[in-house]
Amino acid sequence: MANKTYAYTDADVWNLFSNYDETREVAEYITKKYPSFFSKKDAIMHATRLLNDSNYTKAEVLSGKADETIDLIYKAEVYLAQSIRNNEENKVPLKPVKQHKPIITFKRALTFGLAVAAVTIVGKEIKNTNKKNEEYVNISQNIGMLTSLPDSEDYLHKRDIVAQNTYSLGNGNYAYNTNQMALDILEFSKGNNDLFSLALYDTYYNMNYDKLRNIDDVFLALKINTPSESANEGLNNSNYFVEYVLNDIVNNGLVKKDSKEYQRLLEAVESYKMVKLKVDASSAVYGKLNDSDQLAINDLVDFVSELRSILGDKYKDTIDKMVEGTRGR
Amino acid sequence: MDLYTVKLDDDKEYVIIDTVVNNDNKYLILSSSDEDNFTVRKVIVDNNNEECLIKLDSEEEYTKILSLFYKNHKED
Repeated sequence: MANKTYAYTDADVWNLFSNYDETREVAEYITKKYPSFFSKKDAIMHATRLLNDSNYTKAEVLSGKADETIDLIYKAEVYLAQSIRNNEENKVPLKPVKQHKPIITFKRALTFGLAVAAVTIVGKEIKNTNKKNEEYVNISQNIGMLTSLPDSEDYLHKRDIVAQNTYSLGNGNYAYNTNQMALDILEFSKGNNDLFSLALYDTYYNMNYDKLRNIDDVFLALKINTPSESANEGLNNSNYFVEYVLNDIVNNGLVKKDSKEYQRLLEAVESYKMVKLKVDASSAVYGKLNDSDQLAINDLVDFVSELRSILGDKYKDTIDKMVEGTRGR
Repeated sequence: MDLYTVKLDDDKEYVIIDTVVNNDNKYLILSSSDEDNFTVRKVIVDNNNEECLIKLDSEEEYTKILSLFYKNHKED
């Protein structure tokens, strides 16, 4: 493996993962509440959902504020077990009894049923994810190997979470390539740029290691890191990637460092970085682009166009698609 | 309000909160918030031509039915 210098040290990596300590604490709370019921993997996934989707804080969960939700998660599992045939017949004649009751009785029953259904559907997703995650350990090990990071218990736990999410977002498809992986990482790391940087760093290293990388891969990867629903996050993340793109263009000998083209690239990158500042100032709302975001995207298109003019026709098709994709967002 | 209840083999009473049809099979969504009960049963016609309730065959079937049930009521 070639020696390369990257921006992140081992200590940085440790710090990047610190956000996930709270997930582990919440997962431990869930497993203690219902001992032997939830696997560790399921508990971590439920904990992630409580903290991210349900917007509980760690303190709230540990103080019991999420107990009702956790109880419902537990009950949903019980109801599922009670509804599935287990070699027994359990045939019961259907004899509905008409009763006159307050409407609130029906509404309560319906509301409760819908709550159970919602939790069950989410639980199913978690289980599907965990099935895929039976293989995530391989990716985790690869990440560990490629990054040469310490195999302490704490680090392994944190690394596993990244691998678990990276893998599960890859739909369990072994054939998915590193570009797809980068896309997965982008999706996974929404709102967490540090985590994105780390994951991307790993992916990039992986690309080097597997000799899969070429300039088209880089462009494709850049394309998928252009603004999506959340311009702010997308662009924030892209800054890291642009740096890599520049380095790789030079390392691959496409542009010499003392050339005019390199200078133009540097300017293009700086211009691109301004995108982030503009978006930061625009208070972008998730999923919506305001005028300032649109301006930022236009700048991004300019950046891509600049790349095209510097690198010539050889990568025309790739760049065209990239620009088109960016404009279409 | 008129509503329909059924008793299952656990001797508990459940309110029929919905009927879901999937692949020509009928399912009853049964719930009772008072006692925190919830379950799903499939309706079959037995040899005596009487309708009966049976448990489902798999988790996949259960989740599918719950998804349809949830979809029916997501605007509620």
